[in-house]
Amino acid sequence: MKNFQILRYLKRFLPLIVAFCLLATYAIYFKLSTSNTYIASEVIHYNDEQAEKGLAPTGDKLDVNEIKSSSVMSKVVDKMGLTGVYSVDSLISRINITPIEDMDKVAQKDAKLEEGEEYIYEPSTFIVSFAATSGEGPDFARTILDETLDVYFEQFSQKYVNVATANNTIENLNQNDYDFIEMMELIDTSIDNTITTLYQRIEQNNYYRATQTGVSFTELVNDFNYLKQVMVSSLFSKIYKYQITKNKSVLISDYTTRIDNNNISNTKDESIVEDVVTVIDAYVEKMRESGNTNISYEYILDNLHERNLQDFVGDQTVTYDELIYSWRDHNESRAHAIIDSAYCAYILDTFTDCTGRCNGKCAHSDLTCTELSDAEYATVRAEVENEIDALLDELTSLYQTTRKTNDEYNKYLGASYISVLSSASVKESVNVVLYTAIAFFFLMVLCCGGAIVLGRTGDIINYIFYTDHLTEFNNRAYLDKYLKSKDKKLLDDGVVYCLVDISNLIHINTEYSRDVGDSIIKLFTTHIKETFGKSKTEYIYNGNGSFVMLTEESDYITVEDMMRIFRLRLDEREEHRDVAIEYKIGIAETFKENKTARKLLSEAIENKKDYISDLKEKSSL
Amino acid sequence: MVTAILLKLIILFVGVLFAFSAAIICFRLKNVNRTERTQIFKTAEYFNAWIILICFVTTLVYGIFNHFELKKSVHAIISLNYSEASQALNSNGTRYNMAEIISDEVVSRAIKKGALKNVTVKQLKNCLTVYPCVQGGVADETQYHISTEFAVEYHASKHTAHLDSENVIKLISAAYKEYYIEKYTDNFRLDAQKPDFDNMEYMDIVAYFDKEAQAVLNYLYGMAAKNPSFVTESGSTFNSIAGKVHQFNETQINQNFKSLILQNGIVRNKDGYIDRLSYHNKNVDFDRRKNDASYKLCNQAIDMYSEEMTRVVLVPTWDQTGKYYMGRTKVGVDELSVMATNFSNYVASNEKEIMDNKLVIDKISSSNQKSEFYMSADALVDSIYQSIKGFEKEAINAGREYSRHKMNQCIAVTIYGISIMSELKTLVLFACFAYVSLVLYRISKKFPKIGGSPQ
Repeated sequence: MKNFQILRYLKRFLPLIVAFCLLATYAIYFKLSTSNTYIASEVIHYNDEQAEKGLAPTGDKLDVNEIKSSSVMSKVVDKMGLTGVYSVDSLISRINITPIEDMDKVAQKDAKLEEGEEYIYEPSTFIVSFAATSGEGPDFARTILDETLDVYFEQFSQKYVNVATANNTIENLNQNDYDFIEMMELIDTSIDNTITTLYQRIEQNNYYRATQTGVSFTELVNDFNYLKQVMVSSLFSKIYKYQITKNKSVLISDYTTRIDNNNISNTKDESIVEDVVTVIDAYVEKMRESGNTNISYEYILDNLHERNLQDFVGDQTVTYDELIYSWRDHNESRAHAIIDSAYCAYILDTFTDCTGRCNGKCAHSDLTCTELSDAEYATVRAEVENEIDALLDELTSLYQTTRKTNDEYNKYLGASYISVLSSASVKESVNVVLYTAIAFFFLMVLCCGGAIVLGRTGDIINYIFYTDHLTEFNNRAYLDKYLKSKDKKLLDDGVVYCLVDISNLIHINTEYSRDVGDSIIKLFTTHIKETFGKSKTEYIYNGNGSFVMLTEESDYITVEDMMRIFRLRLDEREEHRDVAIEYKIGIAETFKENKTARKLLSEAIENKKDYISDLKEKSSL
Repeated sequence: MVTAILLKLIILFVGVLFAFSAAIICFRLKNVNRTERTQIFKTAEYFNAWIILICFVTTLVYGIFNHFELKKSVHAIISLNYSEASQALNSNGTRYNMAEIISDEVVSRAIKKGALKNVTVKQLKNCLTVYPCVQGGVADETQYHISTEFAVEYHASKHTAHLDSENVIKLISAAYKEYYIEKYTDNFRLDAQKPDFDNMEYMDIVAYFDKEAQAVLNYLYGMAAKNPSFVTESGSTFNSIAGKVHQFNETQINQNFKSLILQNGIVRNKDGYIDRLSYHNKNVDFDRRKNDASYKLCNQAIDMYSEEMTRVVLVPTWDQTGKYYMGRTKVGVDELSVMATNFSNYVASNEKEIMDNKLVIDKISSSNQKSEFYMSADALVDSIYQSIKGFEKEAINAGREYSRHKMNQCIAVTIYGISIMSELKTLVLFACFAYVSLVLYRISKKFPKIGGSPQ
């Protein structure tokens, strides 16, 4: 059997290995590329100190998962024009939020907890990621993440920081069937509420100016105040002066009902106030009796020192305060209701007042005195209607500016409460190039290993099936295989086939014994090998004392010389000198007309010449 | 579009020639033995004049088309120059969003600005991509990075092939810059329309002027809060301009103009205005009564406190630096006192308003209403209006100057065209490919169609 030579095996399969590895590597690269995902990630940090206690600025529980809430994602889908293309759920499922813990704080927490002390720490820094498929690309991942955080920042501010709203509650008010005075009251109330809300904003940030609208909250307050001072006052006075109403009866009923309701409310409040006073007296009396009124600062101090300083000790004064506040609130409610009733009475007086010009008809009519007697009434009413429309238009426009300013303020607050530590970066989930290189290397190793195993297996098979064990040459089966493989191929120039047949082998076997015959075959084998030496030759023992040598990169004369040497060596042999060996040698070289293996072999057979090596007579042909 | 097709055709032709030649060689390989094969390759003319000439011509044609094709792809770098950019914020403190560079609004502006024809926002947007020039990572803190430079790439499509690429990217950059400055840098709203002063009551005009002057002041104080030491080219600071406006408001509007109207009872609709003020007084009086009731109730509540229940005690507490001190407990009496004071202030304010209105009513009722007063008032209206507009302009100019100098225009844009080196590299590669294909084709011709000696 052939020696174990790794390079021989590799050399044999190298083109196949390379081709397979390249194809397989490309297939792996293609698969990795198509199944790869792009992950855009951004690091955000909640700046509010409450965040480390897991709380939002309002004191509510801080839920970071709101980043991927439906409300946020549906806005993102709308904003990016992806409605119908992506479902909100499919996008939500691709967002991942990972907390980053401050290791110092975690250690501090563990230490405190070990000591049995309470310590609350929640991470306030998070990695927010969005995964996009290879088809969607890295830009898509980055854009979705950017838009999601944009919307979330704004919503965070709306929900947890800038809570009070300044909504337009009077839009299209003139399209409903409100009476003029009611419309004006609603407008007035709406303006007052908006101004109150805007003052809260001013208190938070006096000089904040939205760049989009170019106005500050102070300017908006001034605008609302100006409208209230000029247009609202003017309209109220006209309505009062000209007793302008859509339906006098309904108006009178309405304000009369308000007075009745106020009276009922007053009665209720009076009763509550009396009860509260009774409770206060009883409370003080009980506190006095129990000695709690004799408290001193030393007592409170000791009491506090006994407990943990962190724990707030509520004192009884709070309950007492609450009782006093309750008394004040109910009394205030009662006093205000009385004033409201006075206002209602004023309205009733205004609209039922008779100037005398109607000759008292208005008292029994559904129309006011002015409507009955003043010729200008219709004109003034039309004017008031137009002015209300104009006022509503101006207020709507102002509310729009307020909304835009507020939206930008929300974004500003969102960004100041949540900071970005690292802007969106996109990474592939799998490093395609690296993994492809690893795969190529792995495949190469695998294929080379396979080639070695295959090569060695081939050697074994070759030894078992294609080797003659007597001569260690290839056997007849190998020759058949060789001829078959060369059937459709042309032989290269310089291919020489040489046949050596021991003609009297049967005679030798019979006369001298089979061992002698085998010995002579071995002798031939040795001499043939020595003669062909380092030439590129394949040796085949075809059975029955027949040898075939397939030599490449040689020529007829060289092989003929070799055979001459072979014959000389055979004639000079030391063993079996008493045996006369008859043999034939046939040589053929490739030419134009015999480029196939079978033809060349036939020609070699045809060219056979007889020789004899009889050392007893010392003669040769 | 045509150039792209022609370019592809040239590459396809050379590629087909290569594949065809390789196929011929493969098919005819069996017709020659190894020695013949070696001989063919050994004797092939690798430096043939015709091949060189054809290769040169093909490469030249390819180079021309490639140049036109490359011209369709350009990119620009947008750098954020303001300090807030390093915190991933816009200059107004809101979160920076890179995607806005190629938002519908920006692309639409660019189309409008360049009067680009036969292209929609969507088509143009599809040709644009934006990404940060440097991006960090999230694995650990050392990798954190806030991007402040962004690359915008434009690759023309068949819908935008008729547009000049460099012009498009310039338009997009300019539109974004404009959009950014408009949306995120300091802005001051200007009233586009001059109010109809002829139909406004004089006291309303005073209120209007006061409102406008306050708006300018508010803007200037806001800018001064950002940078009090900034000096404009004309040597003004925000505070100095604000001082002028404040002085003007106090002197010209609230003293001169208002006094002229008040003392002479100048009014356009005497009855109407008196009615309005009367109504207003009535309304304010209701508020005053409510505030007064609240004030009195607060005082009564304080009186109700039992002496035994309001002892002041000291409790240990700690300040913001963590140091302990003895604090005084705050009880309801304290809060009620504060509330009572507030209500008292409201009552005073209501009473003042009523008295002011009464004064106006009295003045108007007793006035002679001479025409020369009206002329003076009208002249003052025009003069004050012009002055306020002048202050507005001065304030806005100072603000813009601040943006220009301190924020370096917020963003800077650099346009990058075609790289000659990359174009040359492509040309060399193509020339090599074409040459190999041509030589291979010539060699393939030497392989015999049927077995025998090579041609």
